[in-house]
This record gives sequence, C-alpha cells and structure tokens, in this order.
Amino acid sequence: MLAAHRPQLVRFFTGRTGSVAEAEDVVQEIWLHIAEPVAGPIANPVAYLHRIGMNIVLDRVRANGRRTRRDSGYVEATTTVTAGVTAGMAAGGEAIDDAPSAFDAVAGRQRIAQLAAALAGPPEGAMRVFRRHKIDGLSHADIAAEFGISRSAVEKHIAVALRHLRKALND
Amino acid sequence: MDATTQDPIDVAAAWHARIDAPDMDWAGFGDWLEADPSHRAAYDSIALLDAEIGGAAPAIAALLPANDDSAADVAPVARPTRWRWLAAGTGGALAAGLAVLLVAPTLTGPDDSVQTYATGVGETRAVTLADGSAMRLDRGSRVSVSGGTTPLIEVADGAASFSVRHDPSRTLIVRAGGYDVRDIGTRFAVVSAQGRISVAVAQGSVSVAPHTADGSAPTTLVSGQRLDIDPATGIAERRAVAPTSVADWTDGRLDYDGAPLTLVVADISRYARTPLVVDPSAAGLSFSGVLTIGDGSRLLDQLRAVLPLRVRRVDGIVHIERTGPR
Repeated sequence: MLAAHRPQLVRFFTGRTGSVAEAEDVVQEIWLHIAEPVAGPIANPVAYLHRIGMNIVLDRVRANGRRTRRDSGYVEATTTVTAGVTAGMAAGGEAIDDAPSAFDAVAGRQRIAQLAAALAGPPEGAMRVFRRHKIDGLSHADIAAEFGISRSAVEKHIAVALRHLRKALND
Repeated sequence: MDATTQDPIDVAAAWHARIDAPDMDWAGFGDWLEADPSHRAAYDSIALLDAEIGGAAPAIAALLPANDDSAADVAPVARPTRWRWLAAGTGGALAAGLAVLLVAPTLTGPDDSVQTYATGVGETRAVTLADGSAMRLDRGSRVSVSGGTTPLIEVADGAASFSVRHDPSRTLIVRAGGYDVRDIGTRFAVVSAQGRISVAVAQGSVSVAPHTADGSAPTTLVSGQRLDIDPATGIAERRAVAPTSVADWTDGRLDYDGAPLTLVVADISRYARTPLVVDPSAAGLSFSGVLTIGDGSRLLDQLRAVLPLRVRRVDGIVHIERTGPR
C-alpha cells in the first residue's frame, strides 16, 4: 500500500522545501499524479514516489524564479509541459505566457554555446561520462558497462562534472 | 559522507548524481537538505542546471565536437534514441531559450523540382523520399516536396508523419504555416490545418521555429512531446503525449490520454465537414480513449457517447456544449 510511505515522503519534502505545509502540498500532488494509471510495474515504489515529488518541487522552484525575475522586469520565453489531465481538472499548466523577444533569442543561443563549451572542456574524464549520460541518454548502468567501470564510479564522475559546470557557469 | 567542511555545491552534486541509484538513501539526503538553508539552495541550483542541460541536449549536441564519447572508438553508433527526459512521467517545465541549431540553408534553387502529393477524404498515402525517409499523408492533406541539397517539405494542408533516416550531414526541414520543423533523425508528425499547427515527436527530436526569423527562440521537442501553435497569437502549448500515439491516424485512430476537449476537437476538425467550436461550458472536459476515424463523419458522435456533450448547429458552425449538472 503506497499510503504507508506518506509519512516518510512528508518528512523528506519538508527538508527539501523547508516547509511542512509545502511538503504536504507536494505529497498531495504526488498522489494526484499516481492516481493516473502507470504503464508497467514499478520496481522501487519509494524511489519512484520521491522522484515524482522532486520534479514537482523543481517545477515550483523554477516558477518562483521566473516570477521573481518577471517582477523585476526580466522577460523570459518559457514553455511548460502539461501532463495528462485528471478527470475534472482543467489542464494543469501554463501555455507560453511571454512572447519571446529578440533579446531572448540571442541570450538563448549564447547560453547553448556556453553550455556546449563547458561540456566540451575539462575535467575530461568526468565530462565524457556526463555527456554520455545527459546528451546521449545512456543510463548509469549502460555507461558503467561500456566503460568497464563501476556504477558508483559513473555517479562520481557525473557529480564531479556537475559541480564543475555549476561553478564554471556561475549564474 | 563528511558534509561539514565541504562546499554545499559539491555535496549537492554528489547527492543528485546518486538519485537513481538502487541504494539511494533518501532519508540521508533529506537530513542533509534540512541541516542548513544553503544546502537546499545549493541543491536547487544543481538540479535546475541539470534539468536545463537535459532540456537543451539536442541543441547542445549539435555544437559539440564529433562524438567520440563512447568507449569503443569504432564506426559511429547512432545516438541512442532513449532520451532521459522527465523522470517518472511528471509534467515539468523545460529550459528556456533553446537556440536554433543551424543557419537556414538555401532551400530551393531554380532547377529544383517541386512534387505535390494530395490525399482525398478517406485515404492515407505513403511516400518514400529521395533519401529513403518515409512520409505518410493523412486524409484530406496536401504536401509538396522540393529537392535540392536540403529537401524542403511543405505541409500545405492537413497532416503528415515522417520517419527520417538519421544523417548528420543534412537536415530535413518541414514547413507548416509560418513555421519550420527541423529533424534530428526522428519520427514525428506535423499538422497544418485551419490556421493551427501541431508537431508531435515519436522518436528522436525536432527543432521548431518561425520560418521568418522574428527573434524568437526555436523550441526543441523530444519523444513524447507535442507542440500546438496558434500562429495568430503566437501562443504555443507543449504537452506530453504517448510516443505510440503520434500519427496514430496512420492506423485510422486518434488516441488520447487525458487530453483537453479543445485539443481533441481541434484534431477531429480536420476530418469534419463543418467548423467545430467548443463552448466554454465544455472547455474544462478532458478525454481519454481511442476514436475511430473512418470517413470522419462519426468522430463527434463517438465523443458524445462518453462525454456529457450536446451539439448545436448555428449558421453552419457546430457548437459543442456541456450538458447536465456540473
């Protein structure tokens, strides 16, 4: 029974969001999501539920960031994926709400170029693993097999790459 | 892990990289996040960056040097088509500002021939393009194909699906209305009908942008995504769809999973003989199920069989309204 995991999820998302009320909200949304049928059996229900919640939280973080920037005059071209709608609800997402500007187009191209340059740079080994995962779409297990390294080594490489990217891009 | 002296960014990155591990310690992660607000902020920043890169992956891929990332340095392997997109199927916001991949090449020269294909009310048609890619036209559609070094396909009216052979040396461009869809070795479908444009990707990814550069950033769609554009307002909506349902009209079906009624009616409008309008009373309804296209005349009846709808014909336009108590 998935409901048995609810207390654990609320506790985790309280840490994740900093607020018990928001954690309850997120967990409610997780439950709304899993009310829809899922194709195939779920191997690890606890992890699955956490990951759904993590995406929900990230959407909120991103939306809050947009609101803050919009309020301060920064216009950003955004798109939102609306997932399948549960019965009775209107589509739970936003359509593109800001017309992209010329500024955004240039900024977008520059950003992509900046990301590509960082991903092509050092540290070489870590970035190679990271690209294989993030750009080419391979799973950790597939990369481990391909490179003949352990799964945890793959994860370490990815962590190294991510922290270098975060610091190099410095926004 | 000793988190006391480490930069929260480093620790956040380490946690993030382990999220999909079978032995992921969620409780430990929660404790670390809770220990200090800077931990949460650091993790937000790592997760956002990771999601941004994931969202922009096709655009970034085009700018990376020739792919030698695989451990085996043999003949180049086709890029895996399984994109790690959103975990566990949530609707999530995608990164902003995805850039155009390529400068628009010269599309047709004076010597290039243009071939037009058209289908009648009840027929679909399969066409093999010069490069071996497969195109299929839906009922009542008209598509033109221009040769040249960069083939240009224009969906003048109706819908077409594409199964494109991956060839890094050239790009297929499908024009629909005022928009260009650039393939990145994929299977996708394009609709241009009744002033509405829709692009859905079954496999791989495409880039969609207005044909005439107006400063707006192109949008990348990957497998399982559908973009509906209203050119009059410039508003586009992106939603998740089952990859198997893309261009399901090929099999005479329209397949939906919790789609807004307005979307379903927009789709079936292509087969209807009179304009269809969804009344605000019905706009909140959603539909899950499969519609059989047939000759196109019974689609609305199929919807009425499962949804609380009534239709009213006024001045040659069919209004779809909600019946019964709300």
